[in-house]
Amino acid sequence: MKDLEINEFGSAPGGEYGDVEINGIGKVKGDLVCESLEVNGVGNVKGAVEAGGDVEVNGMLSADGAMRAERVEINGTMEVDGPLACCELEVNGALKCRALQAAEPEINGAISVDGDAVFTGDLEVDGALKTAGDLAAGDTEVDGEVSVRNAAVQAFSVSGSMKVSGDLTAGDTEIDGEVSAMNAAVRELSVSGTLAVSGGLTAGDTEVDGELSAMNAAVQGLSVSGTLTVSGGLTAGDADIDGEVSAANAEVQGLSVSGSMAVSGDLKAGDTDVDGELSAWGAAVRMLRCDGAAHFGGLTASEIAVDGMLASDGDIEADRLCCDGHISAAGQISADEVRISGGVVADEIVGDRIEIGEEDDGHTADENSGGWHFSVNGVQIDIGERGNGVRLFGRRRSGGQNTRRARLIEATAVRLFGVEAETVNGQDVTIGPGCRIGRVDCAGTLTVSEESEVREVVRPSAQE
Amino acid sequence: MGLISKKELLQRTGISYGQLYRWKRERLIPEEWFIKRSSFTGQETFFPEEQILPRVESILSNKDRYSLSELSRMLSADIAPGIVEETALSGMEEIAPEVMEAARREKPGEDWSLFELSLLAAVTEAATRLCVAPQDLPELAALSLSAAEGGTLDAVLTVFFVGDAVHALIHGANAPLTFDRTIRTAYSVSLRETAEMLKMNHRALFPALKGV
Repeated sequence: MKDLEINEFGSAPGGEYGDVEINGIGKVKGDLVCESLEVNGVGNVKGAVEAGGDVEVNGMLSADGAMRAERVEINGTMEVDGPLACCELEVNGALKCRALQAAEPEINGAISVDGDAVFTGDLEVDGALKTAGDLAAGDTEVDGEVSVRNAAVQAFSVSGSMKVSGDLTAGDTEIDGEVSAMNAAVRELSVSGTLAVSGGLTAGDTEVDGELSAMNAAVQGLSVSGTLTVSGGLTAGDADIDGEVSAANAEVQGLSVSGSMAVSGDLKAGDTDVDGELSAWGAAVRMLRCDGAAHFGGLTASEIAVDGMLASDGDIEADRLCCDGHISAAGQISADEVRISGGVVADEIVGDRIEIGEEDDGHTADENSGGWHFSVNGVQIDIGERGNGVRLFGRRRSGGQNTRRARLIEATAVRLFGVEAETVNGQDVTIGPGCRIGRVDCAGTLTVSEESEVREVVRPSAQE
Repeated sequence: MGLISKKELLQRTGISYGQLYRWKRERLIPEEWFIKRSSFTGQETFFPEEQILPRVESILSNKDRYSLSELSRMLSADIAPGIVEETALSGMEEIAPEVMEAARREKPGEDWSLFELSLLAAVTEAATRLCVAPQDLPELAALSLSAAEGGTLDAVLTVFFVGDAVHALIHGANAPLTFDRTIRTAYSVSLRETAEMLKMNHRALFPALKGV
């Protein structure tokens, strides 16, 4: 088979050739079948190109039909008005084609594809790849720029930028650069750059050091030291929040917040540790340990332990509540067992056993009063069992961290020290030192310290 | 509606504050039943007597057999409202046969939601109280179903006569009706209470109760 070489202006008919070289301005007037094609000048093939070996374009080549080759190297520019299929592809210049299929491409220049791009092997983009259609590839590394409709790739790593106008499906994904997609479903996800998903994100274990935003996100283990913004619902396995998270609703398993997390709607979580800040409108969690600050519209938990600050605009419900820090509730605090040694301000504190304040919250001053008997409204009150001296209002503070105030305190057993309340109702009630109570209604045992002020006592016998 | 104060409730039933509030947290006693009224001692809580007393009784009599959350599923109509298959309905005596027949004509071959069953049971109860003639029952059932489209359990069915014609009205639980003087007989049934009664009486029919 004879070779074809065009060095100046020239044209040749289509057909079968050996090696074809265009150094000047050359035209092949029909389909070209050849061993190899090298264009150093300007070439135009008025048909399809099929090369058994290499196609190398250092100048400019345009083909009006499809192109198939073993290997394609483009240092100049090539435009194929049809699909391009090859094994090896190296683009240092620019390539434009209708559709592209290659095994292992190396993209340092720019590729623009009108349709789909399918890479059967791994893909590395240092330059630019733009497809109006879909991208499919093996392991994919994007250091340059990629813009596609839908993308389905295996392991995925981006330090450049990638825009997916449709769905992104990937294996383990690492994003140092910028990625945007309408929807994304990936295996493990690590974002130290930026990932913006305008629709839904599904991922395995997810680590966010950079910025991640999505309308809805469902991930497995979640660790955030950067920023995660979910405008809709967030679902996660165990979540560790050192950075910032915001969501409209969130459902997570174990939750640990040492950074900040804000849920404008409902939060549902398993054991929850707050060292940082957590806020939610309605929260239902298993065990809440709050050493930091938590603010809810309403809270339901099985157990609550507060060393920091817990505030609710509504109610707080738990089986057990223990507070060394400070709790405030605009509504009702309800728990089987309430133990508050710190501060509390609430409308109502109700339950089975309530103890607020500690016995030594009043100071022992002197021992001159032996009597623990006095009467209120003509009712004799026996407080003889605690004759260990009289305490003064030594440590009553108001307005400070350890303010203890409620409109109503009501439980089967109530013990109060340094508490202000309008009404206290209980079966058995102990009013220790430092209390100011409007009205105590007690059917069982009542003990009132002399160093407390109780305006009215209602006993069953007094009612008749 | 008769009210009973919290203190009186505790005295009469022998339950403790702890139990009362535990049951409230478990939604065994609906929050709406805690009615706050100001009194000379400040604020006092009252309960609708006809509702709270049977509720406390049924909790007390079941609490040793079931866990509180199981009880909550059984007593609260909000949790896991059941869908009952048509074939399982034969033994539901709270719904008059004429009412059930009319309902089947309205919705042939379909399953029934707790809401619909409660409505049909409420129709039956109201009709019994008002002595609605048996031949008027199908019409009343059909009217009620037509008024109940997309309704919730937070509603009351009121049945009344205009002249000799019987009518049904479904309205919000917190919107008591005042009729003009031509309407002499009216009877209202809470759908929620009816639903809770159905759930208690027919545990086997409701999925929430499986495995209990």
